[in-house]
Amino acid sequence: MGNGARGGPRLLAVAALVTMGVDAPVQGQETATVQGRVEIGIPITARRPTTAYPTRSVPAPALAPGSERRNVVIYLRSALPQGVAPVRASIRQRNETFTPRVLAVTVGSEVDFPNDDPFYHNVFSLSRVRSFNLGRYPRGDTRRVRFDRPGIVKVFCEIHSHMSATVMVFDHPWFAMPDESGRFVLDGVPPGDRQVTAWHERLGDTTVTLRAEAGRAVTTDFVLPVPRQ
Amino acid sequence: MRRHLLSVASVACLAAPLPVAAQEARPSVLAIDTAAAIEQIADFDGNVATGLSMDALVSIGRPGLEAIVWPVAQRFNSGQWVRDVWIATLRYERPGPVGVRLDGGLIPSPVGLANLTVRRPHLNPTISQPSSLFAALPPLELRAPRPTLLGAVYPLGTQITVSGSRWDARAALMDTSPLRRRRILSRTNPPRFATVLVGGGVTPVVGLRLGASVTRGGWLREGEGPAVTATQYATIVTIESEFAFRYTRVAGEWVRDRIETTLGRRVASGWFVHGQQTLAPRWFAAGRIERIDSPLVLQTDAVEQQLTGVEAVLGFRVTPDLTVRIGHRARRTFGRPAYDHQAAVSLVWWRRWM
Repeated sequence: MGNGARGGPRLLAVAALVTMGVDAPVQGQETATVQGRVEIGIPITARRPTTAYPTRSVPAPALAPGSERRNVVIYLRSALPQGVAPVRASIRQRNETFTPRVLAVTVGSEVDFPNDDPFYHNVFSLSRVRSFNLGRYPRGDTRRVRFDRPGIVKVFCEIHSHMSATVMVFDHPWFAMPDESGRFVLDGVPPGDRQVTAWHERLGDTTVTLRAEAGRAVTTDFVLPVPRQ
Repeated sequence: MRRHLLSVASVACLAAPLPVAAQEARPSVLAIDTAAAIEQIADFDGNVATGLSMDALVSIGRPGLEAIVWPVAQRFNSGQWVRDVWIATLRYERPGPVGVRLDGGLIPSPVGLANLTVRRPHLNPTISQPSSLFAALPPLELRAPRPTLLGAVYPLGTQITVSGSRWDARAALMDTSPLRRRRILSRTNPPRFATVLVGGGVTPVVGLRLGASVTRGGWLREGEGPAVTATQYATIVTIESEFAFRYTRVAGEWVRDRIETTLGRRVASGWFVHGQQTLAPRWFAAGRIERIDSPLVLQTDAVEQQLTGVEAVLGFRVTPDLTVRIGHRARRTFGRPAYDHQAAVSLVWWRRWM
């Protein structure tokens, strides 16, 4: 229990502080719940607009940053594909920022990319999982992309180099994104030794192994990255 | 196993509580992106030349106030290496219904569209750049330096820009004539000329901008030619437009130089239009047509000469950072009876680091 494992190509620091305990039994007797909290241990910097040649217009103010914990995805690693219901989600382009910057969806889901800015964006991805180019469209318009394969899709704006987003596509239901306070819950986890990963685009993967027991909740907290000891 | 659990839990409890601010991303103080391009050009006589350019754009500051430095190293097709600093400016921006931007130092050229959009290889839709930036006009003054129609200049100066949602206006004061390029690391440079620019544009619909500018300043100093006994001035008028919609992007610029010489006023003019069409997420096609009309001054007379060119490019985006382009360019320079044809292949790498 509590073993740290490394993974992910953009790993900056990998390990985790894990607290495990047994909470009150949950309703489902056949499955377990994995819950916990995510904290970001170091200041995260965001790219800001800059260019040698600014447009002739002065740009609009940047969007105030949201909780970075909401840009973490918690998921069950090495889970076998399951039949999952597709969802409908959106990533807005607002004040030269993708909002949200990270999105987790199931296979077959459709994501809208509405433009809220009074100027063009050009959303595109060249990821192997899903490549697309939505072209330029004005404020109020939207384009939709369907994600049919699991994996990570990096999304960019062709016009604004500081804009990027990530869509993580899962073929199983065991993933979650923390709320503003960093809390997350993975329901219906099959019992057994499970690897749970917290992914952050800058901090990489942090994976822990835990034992999920039927009818019980396991608590595991992630501090990203793990403080040096 | 239970002991191991307890020890891990203890370590977790030792972790200090984290401030709320740490849970929010902050704009980076440092922003860096780099670009490198290599191109190989072959003409139909079998001559092959290789060009290389590398640059880095470094910005230090916070949103609203930043210092920008843009060093560049280039190897021209002739084999000559040039190192330079194109931009070293302090920039202040105040967004709002009427936004304000103030640049001071070695500033990006406030004149024209080509200077604004194609100087970095990953932003240029084609492989080559408009001839108006580099091609010397036919001699306008006997045994005096030859100007360009609108050079790729990086003047020392200051520029103020104000803009609303559908309009923009700017004024600049600089030390360089747009007709004669200065390089800050060059041992020989043209003289400094106090040059004033005013310009502006309107954006009637998103994706369409129409703009114009007028620039006035000296271009030839007394003594730079045997007949030049006083500073000669030039007035440069530009009209520019950019249009983009869906997968299409088109931009064009028209320039008219009214150039004073010791033999009277001469007028040179030119234009280019270039565009890019996204064919698929990885594929795009681009092209440019251009023309420059300029007089060739003889002893007592002048004859009009033309430069015309056309370029077609097919591009493939290997990754968001890496683009391969192949193209063909045909150009007939001043006084030449026929077109020179060139085939080119280019590899452009660009990366935003932070």
